[in-house]
Amino acid sequence: MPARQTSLPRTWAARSLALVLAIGLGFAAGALFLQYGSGDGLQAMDWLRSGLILLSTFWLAWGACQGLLGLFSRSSPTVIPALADDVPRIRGRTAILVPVYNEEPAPVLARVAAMDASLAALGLSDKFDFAILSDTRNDEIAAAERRWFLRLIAERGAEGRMFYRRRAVNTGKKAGNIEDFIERSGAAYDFALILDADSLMEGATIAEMVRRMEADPKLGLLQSLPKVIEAESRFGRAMQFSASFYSPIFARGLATLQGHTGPFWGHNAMVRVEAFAQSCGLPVLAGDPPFGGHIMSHDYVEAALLARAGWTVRVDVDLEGSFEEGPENIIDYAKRDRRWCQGNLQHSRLLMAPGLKPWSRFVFVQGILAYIAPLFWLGFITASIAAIVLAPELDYFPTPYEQLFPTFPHNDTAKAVELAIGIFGLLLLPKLLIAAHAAWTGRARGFGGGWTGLRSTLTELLFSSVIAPVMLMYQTRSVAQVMFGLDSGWPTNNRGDGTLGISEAWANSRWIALTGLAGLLFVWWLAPVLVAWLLPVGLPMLFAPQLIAWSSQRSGPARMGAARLFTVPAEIAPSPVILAWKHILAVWTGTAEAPSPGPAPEPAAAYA
Amino acid sequence: MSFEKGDMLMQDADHVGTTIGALPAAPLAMPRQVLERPSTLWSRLIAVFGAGVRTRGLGS
Repeated sequence: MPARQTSLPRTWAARSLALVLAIGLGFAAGALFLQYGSGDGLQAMDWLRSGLILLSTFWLAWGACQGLLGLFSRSSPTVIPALADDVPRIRGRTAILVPVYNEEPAPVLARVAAMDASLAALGLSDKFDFAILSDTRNDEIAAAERRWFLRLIAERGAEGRMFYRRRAVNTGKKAGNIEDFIERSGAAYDFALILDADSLMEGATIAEMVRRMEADPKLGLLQSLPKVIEAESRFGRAMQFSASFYSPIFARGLATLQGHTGPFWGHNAMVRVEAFAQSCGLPVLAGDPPFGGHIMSHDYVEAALLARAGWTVRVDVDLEGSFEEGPENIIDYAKRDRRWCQGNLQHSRLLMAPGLKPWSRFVFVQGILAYIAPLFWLGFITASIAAIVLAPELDYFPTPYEQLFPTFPHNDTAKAVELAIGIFGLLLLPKLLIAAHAAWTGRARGFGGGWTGLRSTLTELLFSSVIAPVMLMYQTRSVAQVMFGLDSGWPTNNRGDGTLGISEAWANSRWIALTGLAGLLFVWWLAPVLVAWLLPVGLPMLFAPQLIAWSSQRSGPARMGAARLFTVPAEIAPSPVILAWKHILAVWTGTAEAPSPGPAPEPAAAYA
Repeated sequence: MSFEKGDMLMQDADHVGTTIGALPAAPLAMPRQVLERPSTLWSRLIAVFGAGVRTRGLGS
């Protein structure tokens, strides 16, 4: 299916509309707060809080605009394309790159086997090579990688089209790993599909991406929207639901805004090798990390560089059959977020890079704001507490010789309530509209039906609201660490079971609990009436260890007669490549409960 | 794990440790892109300020 092209006027119209709306709402919220604060005269703290509300509301409104654009932009049907007779065969050669870094080898290479089988079922094996690009630092894991790789090529008969190489020095981390491959072998391929160790893609989706690259010679990078799969914990399943239910809509809004200057999320994306080689050789930034050294969030920069060189970068949200795994608990999420925070803040060095498209610069600003904006809320809460201390005493007789009766301050509580409703509306409305849209269009069937979809949406909203203060604290710490020059390094991603006990959760979050306790005690001492207002923030902080441990536990099964909460389409009707992967892994690791590959006859035959 | 100080020195060495299967020998150059403008008085001032913040910070 040919991808729908985005016209430039349409892109600019969408950008202008979203920006004007977000800025307008930001100023409206700021003005409303000033009116509320003027009841007892405007103080410096009112201006500060108004400014913080303005910035926070702009950021919320900007996100809401993306959701609304995604809902109301013309949607193209989702496809898991099959090779029909009238579809032109692909001509180019593609390298499928699987970078690994201290990962457990069997699941990673079983994914490769499943993807290879999926391509073989389409008769396309001769067009694709796999390269396992290991940056593993642990020699024992590296030895296991080699053993499993030999089994992989033996079972798939893949000698000459699957390669394994391990770098002795992991210069430039993942970006350097890919770069090393292109510098040595890039000229042998037209396209490269860049994956992560936990990526899994249908052969038909990969083939369709090649076809789209061949159909548009200006297309330098094509990003698919990977869905999170295999989540088991309460936290992981909530994230998995979000990624499947909301993300396609938000991504469609993003695609409308980005036009030809689209995103690269670092994996599950195809690049034109020549374009990538010409444009994406990353320099090492002057100075030490976190702001200098190798570029950490390289994907955003590579997308900007491709666009700078005149190539189109596009995300096609209609491409199904693209999967990844996600963190199973809040601690792992926060660790990954710490790395992303450093990478995004490092982009502040590149805002003025020569020749970048204005939208690429704005994408960098958005990435930075994603980590700075939550601090505005923290600043607002802090300033609100400080405002009590600094508030002037009420003067009921400002002109004592000219008035008989006291002057009472205006009661503008209604304005504060309006403001709160508006802000909560921006937070909740896009997600609720997505739920309504899913029920209306029948999309909710994949999520257990309209009722289960709504139940999951409401539970996700509640859950994300409860954990928001904990996330806010982790983000605040990340930003502070980066600003004070602490480098996060490149920790290995934890995959698989992420269950945490209370002691482990306490060790990782006691500082949040103690900060919450200290904050509540301080406010109680200062102005007891305010404690109730701060409880929605203070209580989740106080109980952060319990929250983290509880949410990391495996979520319960479905109740009788009801679909399981946070059901996603990948659970109701798993993609054939997922079933094939599970089957292969079960055979390899000798586990008894190997599921049948079901609708994937080719992998079943190969691994029976 | 922090950034290895020796990385830049190793850049030109053959740093492929292990290979299984003959990777196609088809080199393709990746020229380094220019992302930072030549330093100006302003950028040097920012660098000095940044270094000052870092030296006083938790990282040092």
